[in-house]
Amino acid sequence: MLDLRQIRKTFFPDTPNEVQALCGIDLLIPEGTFAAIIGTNGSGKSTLLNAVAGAFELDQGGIHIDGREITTWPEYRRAGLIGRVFQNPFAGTAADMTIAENIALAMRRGCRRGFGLALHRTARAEIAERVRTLNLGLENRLDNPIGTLSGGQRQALTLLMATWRRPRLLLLDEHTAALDPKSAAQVAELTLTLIRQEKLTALMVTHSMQQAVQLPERIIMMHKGRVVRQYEGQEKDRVRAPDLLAAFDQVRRREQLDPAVAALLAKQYG
Amino acid sequence: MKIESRSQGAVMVVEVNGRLDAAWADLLLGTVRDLVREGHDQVRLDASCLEYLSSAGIRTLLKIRRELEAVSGTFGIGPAAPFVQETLRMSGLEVLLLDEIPPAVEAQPAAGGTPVANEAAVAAAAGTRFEPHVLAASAKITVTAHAGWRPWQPLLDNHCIEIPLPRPRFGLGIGAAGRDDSDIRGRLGDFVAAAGSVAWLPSDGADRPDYLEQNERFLPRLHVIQALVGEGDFSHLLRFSPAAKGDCVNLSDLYEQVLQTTRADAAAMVCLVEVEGLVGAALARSPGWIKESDQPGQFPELREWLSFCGERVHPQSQALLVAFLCRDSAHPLAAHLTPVPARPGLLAHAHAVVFPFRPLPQGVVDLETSVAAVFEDNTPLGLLHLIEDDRPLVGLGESSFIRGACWCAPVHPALEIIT
Repeated sequence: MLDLRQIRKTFFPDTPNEVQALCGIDLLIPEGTFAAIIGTNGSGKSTLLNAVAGAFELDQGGIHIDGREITTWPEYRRAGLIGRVFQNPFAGTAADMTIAENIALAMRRGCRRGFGLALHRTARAEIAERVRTLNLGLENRLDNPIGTLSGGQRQALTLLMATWRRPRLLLLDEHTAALDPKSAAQVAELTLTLIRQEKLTALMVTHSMQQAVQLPERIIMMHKGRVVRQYEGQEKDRVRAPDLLAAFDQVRRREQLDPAVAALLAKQYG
Repeated sequence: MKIESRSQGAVMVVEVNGRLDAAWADLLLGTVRDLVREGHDQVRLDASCLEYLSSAGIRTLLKIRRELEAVSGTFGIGPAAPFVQETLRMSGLEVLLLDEIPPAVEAQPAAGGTPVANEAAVAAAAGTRFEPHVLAASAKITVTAHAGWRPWQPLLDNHCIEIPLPRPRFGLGIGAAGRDDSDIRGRLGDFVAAAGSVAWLPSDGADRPDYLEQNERFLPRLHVIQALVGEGDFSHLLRFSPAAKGDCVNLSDLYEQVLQTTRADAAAMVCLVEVEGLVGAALARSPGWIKESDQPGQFPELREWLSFCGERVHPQSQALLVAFLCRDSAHPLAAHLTPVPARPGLLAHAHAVVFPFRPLPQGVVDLETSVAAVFEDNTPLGLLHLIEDDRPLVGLGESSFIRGACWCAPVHPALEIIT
């Protein structure tokens, strides 16, 4: 379960470049819930994910995962609880290392490291077995450098690595945005399968309204550092991509209602 | 595929050259729909140069025929390449084939109404041609004003009243359908009612209007806190269309035409229009939630309560518009209207509910049949209280329309007011 309490972050405070990135966000994602965050550019979606992952210190507020307060934990310590997949398929893996070596690193994420053999036979068999479930034929290429794979294959492996040790929270930061449509659909399908299979709590940032409608159980709409609307339960089942676009329009229109428009409406509405 | 259209008398001939298959069918449909929008309701397809016709193409041809029949138009294929004739005959669709392009059918005088020989009215608004038809010369509309609630006071129990809105009533205001007053308190929104159909935009976060339709013994009823309801026969039907492609008429010009046509200082109108662009606002939060300490009419609090369109919206859609207007500030109706900035001295109140475009037959058309057809085919897309945005430089202007039908009549000077 992820519990965010009044989290706030302002970048470049007291300068002309000041940006209020997160403006007091309260959010509770229950155990086993898959939620998508949608929003316009600069709405704070990725900043919210970075805040949870520990990429920077908050100005205010608290972050709790499964009841543990992790607000002051450094990023590397949070990695023991959190799995993460980035937009760039090349960001979550080491290109010169083999598939097996990359996965071996993921297997030990959050564990104390020792001088044991990097890849003993049992571990290798487990890797081959889990990689086979991706249906990409990569189980026969475990010794190939991961840099030789396509973006889609690499992102599928990154997803597998991020969920290998069943993280308490999975963060997906536009993880299909850099892929071609076919690979994006495959990775989206794999995402759903892994999350359902492992009953993971997951937070996915996406710009795709179709993905937001099809994949998660809950949609969180952000705008200018605030959660402006949430869809869950039957409301989420009912909503379609054009409805989300219409809701964005409503938010945008609200901003256009300035004092001059307010004066206009005061005269003509009623 | 190459599509070319040419006028042959009253008939538009669409010549298709190439393959009419799934890839090109939508283009043909779009071309014919554009012609229908322009007022051409007699369309013939010249298929003599057609090289291939797939089932997707046949389906489109049937769709075109159906859409033209819906507006009392005609559609047929002729001349046609031998294989086209053979394909259609084998499919049992020879009804689509014409042996030759028939002579142009001259436009018939409108049935059911008398055209008004009023040149001033016909040519009054630059760019738009108005055709007034007399329906019942002495008819007047009786208006009832339900004025329990005025913006932006907290809602009291006695502000809400349940009213039936069966045909021939029409109206606009703020209300919602539900069990009782407490049920609708959190959903009150702008509404439009005409010809037995009522649409309203619930202010509980819904993105689209809801609606009720009169059906046999079921009469639509709405709980309203503010409403203007008209009842009676319309004296005139005002048809209007662009004089040239791209022309349109502003709402205030339409108001002026209605007052001229009805020769009245106060009038009511119900229109079905093809929209060029709408400008308006709608309740974003129910007045039922207003507390004594709130100031919903003040900026920035107003943002929570009203949603402004922000740009000209719903182009090329169809709208059902209801409006009450008057240019006599002493008329009892004036107290329930607001000034129209483009026409000093004119007061009006208009709401519009928007649907996907559906062509309207030409000439004199029946209000109830036309409105019923609009609700039957489509779900409403939006609903707005129309506003004229006269801000200098950045203003969106006023709502405007390409063509349409406007049923109108003078308003009886005795206004019933229920508070």
